[in-house]
Amino acid sequence: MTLYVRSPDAIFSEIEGEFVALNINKGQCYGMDSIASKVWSLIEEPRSIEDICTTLESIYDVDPATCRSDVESLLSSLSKEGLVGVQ
Amino acid sequence: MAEDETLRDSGSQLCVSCGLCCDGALHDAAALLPEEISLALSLGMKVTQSGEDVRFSLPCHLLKDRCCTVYANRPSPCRNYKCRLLQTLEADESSLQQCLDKVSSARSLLSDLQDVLPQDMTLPEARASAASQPVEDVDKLGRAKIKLHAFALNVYLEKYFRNEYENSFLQTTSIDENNG
Repeated sequence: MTLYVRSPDAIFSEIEGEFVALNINKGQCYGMDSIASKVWSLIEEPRSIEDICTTLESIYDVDPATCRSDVESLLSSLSKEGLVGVQ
Repeated sequence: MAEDETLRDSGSQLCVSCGLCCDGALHDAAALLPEEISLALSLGMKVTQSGEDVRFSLPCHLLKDRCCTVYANRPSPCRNYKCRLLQTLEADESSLQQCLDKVSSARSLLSDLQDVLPQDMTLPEARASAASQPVEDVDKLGRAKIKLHAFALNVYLEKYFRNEYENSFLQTTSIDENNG
């Protein structure tokens, strides 16, 4: 099972519950919205997509298929920017 | 009349608790009227002129403990400028406490930035560093921290302090759940 976790090369700052993060090797800053920030909080520890979606579905009014698709898309973006690694 | 005075008092209380428009957190410089050049120079301000565009550089060295030391004699931009937060207070859209809380949050983000700045680097210089090209190998982590905290502060200032007509210094790229 693939587990997602914050990259050790990522540094971040929290502003009113939302995060700004940057990969120190890339130098581009990224601002996260509230849902992306929730995912960012969750992946402080390694998490599977299933685990992340279960948590999000308990918080937000979202159907499982949409949630999974959105989380996959988000994790793909975060991985591409070097902010998330997999185990 | 009494209500006007209360509003003025609240505004004054907010401004002396803040100082972000004077210490370089919000702006790199402030525009001067041509007839104020001699006043600004006499006050020791660093004045730059490009054609008809005259400015003095920030941070202002006349700010001490978040108070203007030449308040009665300050130039017109200092008299006339109102940040968005002050405007929301004056329009009764926010309470003084709500505004003070936002100043406190901004100051906390500013403190995070100042903690990672080299000695003597001003906030405008930090912004310029953050907006410059990708982090170089020399002190990569240190530069990355400056950039991160400069951006974080900027996001907050954009949200609550800068007016729409004012420059946005730094841009973040948005990541949300739909941008795959």
